[in-house]
Amino acid sequence: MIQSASAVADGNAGGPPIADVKKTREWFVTNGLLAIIGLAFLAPMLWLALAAVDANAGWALQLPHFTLANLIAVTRGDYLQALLNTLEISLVATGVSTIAGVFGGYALSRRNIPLSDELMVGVLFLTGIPVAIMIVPVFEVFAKYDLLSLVPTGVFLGVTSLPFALWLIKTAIDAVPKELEEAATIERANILQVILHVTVPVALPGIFAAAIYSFINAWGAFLPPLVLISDPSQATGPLKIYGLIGSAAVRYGDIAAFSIVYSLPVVVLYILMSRPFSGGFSMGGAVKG
Amino acid sequence: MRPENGERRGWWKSSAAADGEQQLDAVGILLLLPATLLLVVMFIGPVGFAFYLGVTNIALVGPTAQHFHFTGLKNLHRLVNDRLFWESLKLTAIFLGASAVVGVTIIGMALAVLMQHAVTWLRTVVGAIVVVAWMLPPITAALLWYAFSTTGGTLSLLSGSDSDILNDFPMTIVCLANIWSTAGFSMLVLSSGLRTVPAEVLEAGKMEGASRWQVFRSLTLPIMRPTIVTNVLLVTLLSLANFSLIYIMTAGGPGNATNILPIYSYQQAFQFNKLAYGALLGDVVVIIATVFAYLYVRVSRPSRAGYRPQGKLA
Amino acid sequence: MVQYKPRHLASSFAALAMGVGLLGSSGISGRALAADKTVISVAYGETYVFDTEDLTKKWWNGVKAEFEAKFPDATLQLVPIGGGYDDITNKLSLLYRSSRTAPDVAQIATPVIGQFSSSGYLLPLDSYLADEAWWKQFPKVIQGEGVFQGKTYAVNTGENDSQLYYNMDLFKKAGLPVPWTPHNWNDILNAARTIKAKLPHIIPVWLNAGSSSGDNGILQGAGNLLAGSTVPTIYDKKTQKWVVDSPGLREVLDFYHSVYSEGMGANLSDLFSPSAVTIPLTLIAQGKVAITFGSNYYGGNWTKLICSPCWADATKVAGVVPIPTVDGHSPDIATTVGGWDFAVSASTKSPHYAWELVKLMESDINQINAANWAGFVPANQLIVKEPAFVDFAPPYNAVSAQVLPYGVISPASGDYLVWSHGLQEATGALAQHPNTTVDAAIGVMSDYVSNQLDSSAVETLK
Repeated sequence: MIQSASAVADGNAGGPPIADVKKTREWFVTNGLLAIIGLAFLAPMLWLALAAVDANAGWALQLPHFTLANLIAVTRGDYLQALLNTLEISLVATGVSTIAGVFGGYALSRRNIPLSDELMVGVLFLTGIPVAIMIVPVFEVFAKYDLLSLVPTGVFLGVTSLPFALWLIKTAIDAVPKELEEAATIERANILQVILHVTVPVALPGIFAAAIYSFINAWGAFLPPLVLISDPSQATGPLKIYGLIGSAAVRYGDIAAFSIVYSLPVVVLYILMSRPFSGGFSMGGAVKG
Repeated sequence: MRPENGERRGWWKSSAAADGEQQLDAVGILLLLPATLLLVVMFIGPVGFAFYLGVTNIALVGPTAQHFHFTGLKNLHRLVNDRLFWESLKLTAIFLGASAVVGVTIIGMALAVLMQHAVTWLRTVVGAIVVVAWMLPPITAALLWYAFSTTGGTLSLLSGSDSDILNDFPMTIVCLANIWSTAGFSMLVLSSGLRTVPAEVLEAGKMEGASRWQVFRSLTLPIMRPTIVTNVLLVTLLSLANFSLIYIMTAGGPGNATNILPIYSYQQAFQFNKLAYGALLGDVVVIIATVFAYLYVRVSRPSRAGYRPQGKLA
Repeated sequence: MVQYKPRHLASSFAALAMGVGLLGSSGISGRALAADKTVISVAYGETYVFDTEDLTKKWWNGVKAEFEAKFPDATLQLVPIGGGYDDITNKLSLLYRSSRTAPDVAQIATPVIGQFSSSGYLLPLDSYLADEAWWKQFPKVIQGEGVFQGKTYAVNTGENDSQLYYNMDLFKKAGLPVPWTPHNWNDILNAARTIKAKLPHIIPVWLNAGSSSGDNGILQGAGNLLAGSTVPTIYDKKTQKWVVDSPGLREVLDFYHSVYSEGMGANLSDLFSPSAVTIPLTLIAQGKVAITFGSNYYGGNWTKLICSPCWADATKVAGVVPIPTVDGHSPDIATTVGGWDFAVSASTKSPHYAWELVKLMESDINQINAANWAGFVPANQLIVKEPAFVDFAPPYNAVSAQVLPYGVISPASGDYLVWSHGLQEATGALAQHPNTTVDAAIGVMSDYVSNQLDSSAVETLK
C-alpha cells in the first residue's frame, strides 16, 4: 500500500545506543549536508524573488527598488490569458495521456499483447526523442487539417508524455495483486469496471505520478506551442516569457514576476499532491516478486 | 540460482505472457488501441518522416522548401565530414555523462539517503525546494540560471569577482543547471527505491558490526541496483530531450561550446534553413536514445536473476 | 488519509477536459468569421519590430480600422508573431507551406526576402508598382532588395542603418574635439585610446561581437565596417562563392583586434548577452561608454514616447556622426542597410485587397508613424525629409536619413546566414580571447563557413 516517507525514516533509529557523541556527529553531518544541498538548490531562485519586486530589475542580483507593480501587471490582461491558455493545454494533455495510459498500461500489464516486452522497451526509448525533430511534419499535418490551435496542441503534448506515462502506469499496475481483480471478475464485473474500480484505485500513486508528469511536461512545453500556435490570444506562458526576452525593450522585472506567477501552479500542485503521488515513482514492480 | 518456472522473466515483461495464452486478446488490443493510435500518428509517424527528410534536400524556405527530393547519401557524407558534428557528439556525451549519469544520480542518491535520516522539518523543506526546482518549467529554470551565472548574478557575487561565469565555463554551468532541474526527479525515484530495501536486511548488516557506509555500499546499493540503473536511463533520456534549457541559456554558445546535438540540429534546421541536415542530426539523437534503451535492457537483464526481497541474496 | 473516489474523479476529469476542449475550439483561427466579408490576413512581428507592444498595437489597430473603414466589405485579420527575428522568419516559413495558413500579406525581414521569393511563395508586384508615385521615391538600391530573377516581390516598409554615437560630455572631459568628425578608422581608434588614457573607468568603444545577437549583431556592428573597407565583397557573384578571406575582412578583424587587445571594448557578459544590441543605449546614457557603433533607432528610443531608456538630455550629450570608411575613401560613409518589407502571398485569394492594404500601409502618415514607433528610416526619400520624421528625434533622424542611400544590403541567399555566423564567431573569438591574431580569427571564420557550406563554396579574395 501507500507508504509515506516518514514511516521508513525511523528505520535506523532503533539501533543500539553507541556513544552519543558519534550519534550527534552523524546527526550534524546528515542534517548539515542536507541543509547545504538545500541552500545550493535555493540559491538560483534568489534572483527571481528579488527581481520580481524590483522596479529597476536587470540580470544582476541587486537589492530591489521595491515595487509590487510588476507582480500586479502580470496577473491581468495578456498575462492572465496566457496562464489560462497554459492551463487549458495542460489539462488536455494530462487527460489524453492519463486516459490512454491507464487503458494501455492495463493492457500491457495484464493482457496478452504480442511482443509486449519489445513494445515496452520501444516505448521507453521514445522518451528520449527531442520534439524538435518531429515538429515540422506535425506542423504540416496540423496545418492541413486546420488544427493549429490550443486543443490539438494539447493533444500532441499529451502524446509526447504518453511513453513515460505508459511506462509508469504499467509498472504501477504490475504491482496490483491479481487476486483483487480475480475477486471482482468472480462477482461478474466487466473489464471496465475491474479497471476503474479495482485496479485504478490501487495503482493510483503511479497513475497520479504519470498525470503529474504529463501536466508538468505540458505546462513547461516551449517548442510545440511556439511552432503550432499562431493566434496570439492562444499564446501560452512560455511563449509570453520568450516574447518578453526577445522584445526591443526588455523588462526584467516583468519577466521575473511573470515567471513566478507562471511557475506557481505547478508548485501548488506538488504541495497538494505530494502525499498521494510520492509512492508512485517507485519502480516497485521491479523489486517485488 | 536460476529463476523458478513461473517466476517473472523480467519486471518489464507482462505478467500475462508467462501463462502461455496463445490466442489473440481482442480486449487487450482494444484497450491498447487509443495509446497505439496516438503514438503512431503523432509520434512515430513524424519521427519516421524525419528519418526520410534527413536524406532529402528539403529546406525550411527557398526553392527546395516544397519541391524537394531524395538525395541519397549526400547528407550522410556531409555528416561524416562535419567537424562540428563530431564536436557536438562529444559535447553531448560530456553533457549526458556529467549531468545525467554522474551528477543527478549522485546528488539524487545523496538526497534520498540524507532525507531518510534527517529531521522531519528539514526533510520537508529541502524536499520541497528540490522538487520545485524540477517542476519549474524549463524556460524559467533557464532564466534563473542565466541570471545566476552571468556577471552580477548570485554565483559571481559569491565567487567574489565580477566575472561572467556563464561565458567562462559554459559547459559546466549548463551541466549544473541540468542537474539542478532533474535532481528532484531522481530523488523521488531513488527515495521510492530506498523504501523498498527491507529493514531486516539492513538490521542484519548492522548486527554483524558493519558501519553505516559498509551497509550502504554492500547491501543497500546492490539491492537498489535496478532502480539506480532505471534512474540513470530515464534521466539520460530526459536530459537528451531537454532542449529549451540550453537553447535559452546559451543557444549553443559561446562559439560552439555548448552546442550539443539537439541544439545543433535545431540551429541547422531553423537558423540556417537546412531542414534536411537538421533532421539528419535529429535522427542521430534518436539513434543515441535507442542505444541507451538497448544498453539498459542488457544491463538490467542479469540483475533479475537472484535478488529476492525476502532476504535471500544470491 | 484522504479517500479517493475514482469514479467521481474520472468522470469529473473527463467533463473538465471536454468543457475545456469546447472552450478552446470556439476560439480558433479567424477563418470562421462572418461569411459575407472577405478576410485579408496580415502577419507581422509582435514584440520585435516596434519598440513597445503598445506601439505595435497602436499602429496595427490603426491600420485595421483604416482598412475596414475604407473597404466595408473586407475584414483585416491581424496575425502577430511573437519572438525575435529568427522566430518570425521561421514562423512565416511554416505558415507559407500551406495555402490554408499562408498570410495574404506579411512583413518579412529584408535579408530573407530572396528565400521566400525563390520558394514560389510570393506574388510579383511589378504590375501593381508601375503606377505608384511613392515607389519612385525609393532609392534604387532599396527598390532592389525585393527583386528576384528580375521580378519585384516585396516593398520596403522601413530600414535600419548605422552611425557612431558618442558621449560629448566624456569627449570634452578627455579633451577630444566636439563635434567629432572621424575621417577614417584610425581616428576612431585614436579617440578610443585617448578615452582609455584619460578616463580609465569608461568603456571606450562598444562594438558588437559574438553570436548571441545573430545576424543583427553583424548588421549593427562588423557589417558596417566591412561596408567601409577596401574590399567589401561578401558574395562573389562572378565565381558564386562566399568570401572568407579578403583585405576587407582583414581590415575589419584588425580593427576588432585593436579594440579588444588594447582593452578598449565592453565587458564580455554584456557583449554576449541575448539583448546585447540594446545594451549600449543604456550604457551611453549612463555615461559608461564613450563611443558606440549604433543603429538609427537610438534617437527615437531615448525620447519620452519610446523611453527605452528615457534620456531627456540625449540631444545635449549624445553626438552622432556617420561611420567613416577605413581610409577615408569616398564617400567616407559606411553603413549596412536592412529592414522589413511587405510581401503578398502567391496563393492569396484576394490580390486586389492585399495590394490595397500594402498601399495603405505605405501611405505617408503610416510610414512616418512606423518609422518613429519602430525606429526605422523610411525608404521614401520624400517622407524622410518630413518634419514629422526629422523632428521626432533631432538631430539623429536627419543623420540616419543622410547615410541611407549609401547603405549596403546583405546578399539574398539563405547561405548568407551561415557566412554571417562565421563572422560572428570570428569577432567573438577576438573579443573573448584578445590575444587572438587576425590570421587566427580569419581561420575561425573560414573554417566555420567551409565546414558548413563545403570548401568549394568559399574563396579568398586578394
